[in-house]
Amino acid sequence: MQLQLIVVSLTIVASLNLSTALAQQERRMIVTKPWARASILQSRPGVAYLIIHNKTSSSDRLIGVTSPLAREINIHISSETNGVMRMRSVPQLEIAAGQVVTMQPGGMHLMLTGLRQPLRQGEQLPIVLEFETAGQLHVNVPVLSIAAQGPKGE
Amino acid sequence: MNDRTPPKDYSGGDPMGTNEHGERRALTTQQLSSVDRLIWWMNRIALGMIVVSLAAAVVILALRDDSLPGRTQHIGEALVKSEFNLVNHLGQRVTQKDFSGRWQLVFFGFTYCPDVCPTTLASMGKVIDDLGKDADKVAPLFITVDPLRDTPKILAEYVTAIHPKLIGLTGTPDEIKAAAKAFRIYYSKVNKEDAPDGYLMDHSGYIYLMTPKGVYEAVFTAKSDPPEKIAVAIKQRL
Repeated sequence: MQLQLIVVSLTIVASLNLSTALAQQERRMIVTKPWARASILQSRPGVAYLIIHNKTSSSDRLIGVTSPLAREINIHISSETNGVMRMRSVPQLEIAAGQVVTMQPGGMHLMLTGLRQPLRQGEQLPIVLEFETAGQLHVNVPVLSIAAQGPKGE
Repeated sequence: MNDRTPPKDYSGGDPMGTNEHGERRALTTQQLSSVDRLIWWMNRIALGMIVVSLAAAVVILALRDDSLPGRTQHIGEALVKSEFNLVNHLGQRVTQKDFSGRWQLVFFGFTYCPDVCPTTLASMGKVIDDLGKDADKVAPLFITVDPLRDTPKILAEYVTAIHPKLIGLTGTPDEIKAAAKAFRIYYSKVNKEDAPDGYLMDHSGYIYLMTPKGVYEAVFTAKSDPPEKIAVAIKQRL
C-alpha cells in the first residue's frame, strides 16, 4: 500500500517535471531548416540560410553569428529594385516575440567570408547564433549541393 | 479645374492679404483677384501632378509587364543587343559572333556575390539540363561585372563548379562596360566595410534570352521564374 503510494506520487512528480520541461522547451528561440550551399570557390563567400522562430515571450536580437570554419559571418539581405540586385547588412536583427524570420535565396542570408576550408556537400557547418537575451544557440548546418534551392521537400 | 486661363485682372499684390506692417486686413478686389490667381495656379499644379502620376503609373505597369517570362513585347527591347568583345574562362578572346547560330542565355554578376549569383547560375544550369538534347542550341553566358577580381582563371574554377556548360566571360573594365551597355545592364561598385576587399557590386538581376542572331527575345529572373518554366519558354522557340 505504502509502496503504491510512493510509486503514484513519484509518477505525479515525474510527469509534472516533464510538462514543465516541455513548456520551457516551447518558450525558446527555435531554428529550423538550416542549410548551406556547398562553396563554389573557397576564396569566395559562402552562404547559409535558416529560419528563426522567437517562441519566447519577449523581443530579442540576433547580435552575432560565428563559425570555426569562417573568419566572419554577416547577416545580409538581397533586395531587388527595378531589376537591380543589391545587398545590405543587418548588423543586429530584431526578432519580436512570436515572430518568424525566414532566410532564403534571394532574400535574407548569412554571408560567410574567409572560409577556412571548402564547404562540401554532405558535411555540416557548425555555427553559433548569439542572441542578446536568449544567449548562444549552436546549430549544425547541413551543406547541400551548389545547385540546391533549399532542404528537400521545400 | 474648369478655370483654364488665369484671371485677366491679375495685377500682382500680396497673396497673404497682409499690409506692409504684416497686419491682416480685409481683402480688396485686387487681393481677391490675386487669390483667384493663386487658386488657378494651384489647380494647374494639381492637374500637372495628376498627369505626371498617371504617366509614372503607365511606365511602371509597362515595366512590370516586361518582366513576365516569355513576353516578347518589351519596351526598349530593340536596345538590348548581344554585342561584346571579351575573354572566356579558357582565356580565349570571343565576341558575339562566336555564339551566332546559338541562342544565348545571359546573366551579369560576380563571383564574390554569395546569394543571388549562385542561385541564378545554378538555375541556368538546371535550364540547360532540362533542355536535354537541345542543350547545345543554347549558350549559357555569365559575364562578370567585377573584372578586376574575376580573372579567366577564377572564372574557370567558378563556372565549371556550377555547370560544365556554363561559359564565364571577363575583360578589361572598359570591355565589360561596353558589353553591359549593349545588354542595357546596370552595375555599380558599392563600398562596404564588411565586404571582402571593402566592396560589393550592385547589378541588374536579369537573365536575358537572346536569339541566334543576338537579338533580344525574352527576360527572366531566378526569383520569379523557376528553371523548368524558363526551359519550357526556350523549347517553345527552338
